[in-house]
Amino acid sequence: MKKRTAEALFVLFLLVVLFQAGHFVEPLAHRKYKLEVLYLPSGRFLKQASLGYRDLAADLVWFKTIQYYGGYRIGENDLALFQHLVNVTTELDPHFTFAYLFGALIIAEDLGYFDEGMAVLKKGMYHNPGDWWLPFEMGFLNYVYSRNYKEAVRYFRLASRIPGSDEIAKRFAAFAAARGGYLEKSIAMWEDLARTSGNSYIRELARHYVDKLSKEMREKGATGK
Amino acid sequence: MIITVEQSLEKKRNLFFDSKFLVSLRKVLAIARSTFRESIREKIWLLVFLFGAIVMASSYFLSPLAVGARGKIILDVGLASISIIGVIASVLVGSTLLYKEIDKKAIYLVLTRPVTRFEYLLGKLSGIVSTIGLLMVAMALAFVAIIYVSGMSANRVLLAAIYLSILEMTLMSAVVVFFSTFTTPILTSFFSFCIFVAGSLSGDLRAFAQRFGGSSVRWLMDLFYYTLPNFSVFNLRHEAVHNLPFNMSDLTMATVYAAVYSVALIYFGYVVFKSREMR
Repeated sequence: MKKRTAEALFVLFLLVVLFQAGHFVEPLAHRKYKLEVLYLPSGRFLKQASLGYRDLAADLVWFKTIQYYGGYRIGENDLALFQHLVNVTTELDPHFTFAYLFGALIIAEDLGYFDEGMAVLKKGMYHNPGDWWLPFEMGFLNYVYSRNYKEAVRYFRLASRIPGSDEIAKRFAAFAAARGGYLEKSIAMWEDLARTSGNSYIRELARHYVDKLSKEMREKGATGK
Repeated sequence: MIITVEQSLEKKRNLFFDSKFLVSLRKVLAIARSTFRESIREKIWLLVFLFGAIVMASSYFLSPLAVGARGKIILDVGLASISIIGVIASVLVGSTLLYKEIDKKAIYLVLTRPVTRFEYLLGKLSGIVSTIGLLMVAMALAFVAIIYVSGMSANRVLLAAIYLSILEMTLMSAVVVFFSTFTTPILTSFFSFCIFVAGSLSGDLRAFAQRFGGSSVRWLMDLFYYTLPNFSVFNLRHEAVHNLPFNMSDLTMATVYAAVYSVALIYFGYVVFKSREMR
């Protein structure tokens, strides 16, 4: 009995030692992790190296991407390698639409690289022409970051034309058109939404905007501005 | 002489099972059955199944960390686990199968009977394929359960991808049985793994050679591409995860390819094995 207790205590002691050892090598492991991200091979190489398990490899790189972004949020890195991680992920799995959406948003918002963010989304659109979220986000980025309302309207309209797209794309197109001063275009889009929407609230909202914008247009016409 | 309907049916059945032209299916099935019974008793299968189930279940618990890619990660990890475990199990089990039989001299009991070595190898292959196939089906059921618990549903592309993984394991087992007819278990595992790597990369190497290589390199790569087992044929995982369209005829093509290639490999193994003297 005594022998068993001694053995159990020794096992416990060893576990504590292992835990401490983990703490001891933590700085080394952390440094290695940083290097791992820095020297991450290209997506093309990983495609070959993953031997047909490319989607699984994409998931593993995606986990790293999220961890890397988490590190940025707590001040561990400056996101310099984020774009590379997103590129590798999407190279391994070109149909991973969420990686394009999330990646482009971070690249445009946190890094401030609007064009690079748009390039990520364009790549996504090339591989996933049936996904309306990609052109929708392109419209969104144009609307929010570059204030290019004309381009925003173009992408929102493109998104709304993709089968299965949500009505939000049509609504945003109309909003963006109004914001850009394209009142006629905006009224036409809201009218279209008021006619076609399956949601009564949206139809009512669309009619409200048609009335509001029509009034605005009439006033502009009267004042000659 | 009057032949009854039963006698006629029996005659036809015997012609099919005991055909002297090719192989006796009855003997192949008997060897397969005994191989299956022998290998299913091994406790390692339970461990392998538990390992696979834990990996798949861990994807369920870890997937929230993947921000927005939860479903994709569960499907990717599940399908890859089934395929990887199938390939590894075929190498581990197949590489020692023949060696053990020769070492324990159990092979004499079979080969002293009217059984050809081709029938013996085909029976052995069928036995290990059914054992590992059963394991893969069990894993697939656990995977489908995880899918439903996660609030998703199993589509037909997903089931087709699992079926193709079983075919991939069948072809891999044939490769292993072929090597095991003339070399040691360690070398069998090594060669089989090399064939798996080469067979998975052959398409990329061929494309690379076509773009950058000279005519002789292109010719050589073409030769490798068409001769080595093309494992990419059995990869429908990407389509299954993203629910992309696929042709049902692709399944038929892959099934025929796996069957023809496996039987050819067993025949090559038989050619080597028949000249081998048992001591």
